[in-house]
Amino acid sequence: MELQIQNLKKEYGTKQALKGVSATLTEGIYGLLGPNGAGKSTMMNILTGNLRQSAGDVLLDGTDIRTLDSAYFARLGYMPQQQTYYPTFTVEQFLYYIGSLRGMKRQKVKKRIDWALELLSLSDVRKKQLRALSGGMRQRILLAQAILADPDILILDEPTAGLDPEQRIAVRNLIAEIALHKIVLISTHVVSDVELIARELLLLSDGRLLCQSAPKELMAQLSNCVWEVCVPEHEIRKLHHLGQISGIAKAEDGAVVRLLAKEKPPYSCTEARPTLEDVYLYHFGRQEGL
Amino acid sequence: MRYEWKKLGRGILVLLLAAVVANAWLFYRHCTAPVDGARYTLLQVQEKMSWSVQALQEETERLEARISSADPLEILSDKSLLTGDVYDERRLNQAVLARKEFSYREHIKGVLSDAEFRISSGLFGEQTGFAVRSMERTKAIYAPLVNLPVQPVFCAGAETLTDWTLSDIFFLMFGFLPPLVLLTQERRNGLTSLLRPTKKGRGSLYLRKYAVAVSSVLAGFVLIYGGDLLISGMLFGGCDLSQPIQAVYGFDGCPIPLTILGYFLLFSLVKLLWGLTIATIIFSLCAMVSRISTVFLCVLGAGLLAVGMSLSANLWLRAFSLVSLADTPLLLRQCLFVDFFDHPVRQLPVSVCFCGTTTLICFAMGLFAFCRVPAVVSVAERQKLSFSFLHRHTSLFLHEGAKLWLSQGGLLLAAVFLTVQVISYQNYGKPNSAWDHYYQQYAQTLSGQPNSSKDAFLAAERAQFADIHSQIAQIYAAAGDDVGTAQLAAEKLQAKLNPEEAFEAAAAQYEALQAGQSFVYRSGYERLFGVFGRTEALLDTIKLLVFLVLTLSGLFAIEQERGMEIILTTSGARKKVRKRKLLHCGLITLLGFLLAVLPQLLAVIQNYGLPNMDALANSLPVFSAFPKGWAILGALILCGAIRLALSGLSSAVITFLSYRLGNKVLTTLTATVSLVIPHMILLLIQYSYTRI
Repeated sequence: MELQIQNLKKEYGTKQALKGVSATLTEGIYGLLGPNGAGKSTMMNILTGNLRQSAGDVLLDGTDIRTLDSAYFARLGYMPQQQTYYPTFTVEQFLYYIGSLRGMKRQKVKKRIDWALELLSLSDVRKKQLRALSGGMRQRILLAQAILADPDILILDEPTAGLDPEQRIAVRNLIAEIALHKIVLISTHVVSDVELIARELLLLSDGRLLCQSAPKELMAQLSNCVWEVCVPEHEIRKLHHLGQISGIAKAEDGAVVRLLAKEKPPYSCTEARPTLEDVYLYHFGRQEGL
Repeated sequence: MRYEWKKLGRGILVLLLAAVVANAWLFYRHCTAPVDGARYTLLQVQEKMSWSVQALQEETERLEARISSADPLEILSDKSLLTGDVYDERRLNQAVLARKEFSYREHIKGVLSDAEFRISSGLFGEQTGFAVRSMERTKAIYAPLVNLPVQPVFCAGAETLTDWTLSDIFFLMFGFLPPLVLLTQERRNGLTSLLRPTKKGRGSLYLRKYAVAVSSVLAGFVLIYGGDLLISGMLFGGCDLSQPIQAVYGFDGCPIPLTILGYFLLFSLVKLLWGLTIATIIFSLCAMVSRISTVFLCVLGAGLLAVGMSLSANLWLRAFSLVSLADTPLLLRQCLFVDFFDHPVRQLPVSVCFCGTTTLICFAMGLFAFCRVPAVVSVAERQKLSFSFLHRHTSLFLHEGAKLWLSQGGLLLAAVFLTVQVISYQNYGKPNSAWDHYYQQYAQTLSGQPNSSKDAFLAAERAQFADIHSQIAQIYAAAGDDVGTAQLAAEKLQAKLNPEEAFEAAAAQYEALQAGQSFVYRSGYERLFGVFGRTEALLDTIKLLVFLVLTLSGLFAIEQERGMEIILTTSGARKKVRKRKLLHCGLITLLGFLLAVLPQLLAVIQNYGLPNMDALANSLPVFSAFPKGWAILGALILCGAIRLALSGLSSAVITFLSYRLGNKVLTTLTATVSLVIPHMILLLIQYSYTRI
């Protein structure tokens, strides 16, 4: 299974949201990273059929998804970022409704609902109205509806937003578990969510794809660029001129500053192991005003 | 407050602007259309008011001479006349003469002497009773007005502007729409929980919202009545505002010594207070209730209650009815009292006090609800065990049905509609007059196609009546001048003539039949398609439209409001969902149509009957326009089909609005303005014609 994005462009009047994005996704988890306004939502909306591209193609196994139409949607699961639901529906009713939207048989839906609710620890609330649930529960229900039909392609927009750390880990593991034979594209700002599970990351900036690489490769690119600098507190501001500060911790004789810089800073410092947050900051920090 | 105004959005402002334009157009038509029941316009009255009494009398004499010399059925048109018709011109002259020759002094003297006579006659109870006291009060009020220098003046502004009730409906829109958006829609969008925890988010926010409602009422007053005044001024010009209002036609009964300018100011104050009271009631309702359909139903219920109160014989109920208070000129034209422990109290101050008190109470209740009632309503964790099996299916049709009928209250609204219809038609009037009784008897005999035996029956009946008439004539001739004895002697014969009027009607109907046509008992058909039937049908249509607006406004809007459009698209079932929604829309329309049409039809069938449905439709006067070959049943089906098609069209408009606007509140408002209000205006016009 292969999802090819070819020279995808999208224009809103004179503004170009996507300026020719090309990528190839095969089975596995992909993280889509980028600052606000980079074009992530536009790209996801095109992939989910909620928006038409101005130019370019999206091909599933060589066939344009516009040609495939319902055959494509039958293989697609989508979890939107905004909490979309019918407030008066019960959890069970909502999932049965999604099953009917996907044209599933009643018995299959029943089995899948039991499975999804069990997996997401929602069995206790299956008969509660959606408006009576907490934000975190609704978030998990949206994930449940996305995986209900066992889709081949799963597109998740900020799937862990609003979840507590325990739920976040559980959801992350769940995604990793169900994604073995699927294409999973996760858009997120929480880089730790994809750090451990993503096969590749797509870094999107200003409507362009900066790179598509494995997290380890991206982190390797930053070797000799991440430093932990020990400085007195009044010297911290001077470090801004040397590179990007990704963290500050208090130390006995001042502060330990984590600094991204191509050259070794002229202070007492040690080289640190790059993380995916460093990668994010390295590529997008300036754009986000950091 | 500026931000609250901005929240109203362009859509609401466009609706309000449309209301101003529609009012201006209707008011212009009102000013230029013939005066109620006559065939001359107010512009022509104005023209003739400049003539001297002598000139008017001379022309009237000339016109009467022409009329008396002409054939009674001849149409006497004359382009040189203002109305272009001799008969209409004579009526116009007579009306203008009545205005010019009116003596206010004599009128007031008449009122005072009438009151004096009633007091002294002793027919109205004790001297300390309400009736006598109110007449004494009337005397006391009108006595100082005898010497008021009143010379008849033509003031079209006072006649047309303050008497035009449709402007009140448009004016009310300015008080109705802002609270729905600022309170109901904000709550639906979950913004209340965001705004209320801010520093100025409770009392102060409520005040700002209320200030918008008040300023909207003020703006509405200026735009609606100011527009009317402008049109009136452009058409008729100004008048001397320093003259007493009693000098204006129709205002001779005004018990307050006011100038025309003073009248306009008082009218404005009372009308503004009335508008403000209604706006405050709606505002407080929106602060307490979150569902738009509940707000609408409460407003409708309150409206019906106010109509009932306005029709009551009890003056207190009428004084407290906001529908009665809408007729502000009536409050100022007449001197009405309410009975306060046998003491007559003027209705105007009572009504003004009632409006003021209601405004304050509703304002306080709304403030309390907004500040104290939790913004986030705790949701009862209902375990839908008993009904949960209903949702365990994958039928998209049933899921869409659940959304429309259960979640959005379609079933509940249908039950309310059914209840309203059952109450409306449970005491449907039966044909109980003697005429109906005799006509029904003749109709049984004459029913069907004409034949010789029926001809013979009619001839025999006619001969019998002629015989009775001649016997009565003989009795009177024999009695000579002793009329009393003759009446007594002819009493029994006279009673035999009771069916004659019904016989003549039945005979005329029978004799007017053409080849192929049949005699049909027509009372039921006339009840269904006559003036009263049409008014009832219009009222039913309004109920149907309210039902459709409240049920279908959220049909497509709910997905857009809840962001579910995205999931529908990604599941590839958008078209399927749309189809099923439209199918349910059709079912709702059909149910609504049946609820609107069947009660009236069944009531007519039960009380009058609709016989001979296989007869030719044009046998009946109400279906005379139908071509030959159409049976009555076919005509009934066609009428029903047209009404069903119009109901379908209305549903299509609401559905389209729901789809395009994507907002239930805005859809409800737009659909109400574009569908319900025009029908209400039609109903008001129809009522006024029925009155004439």
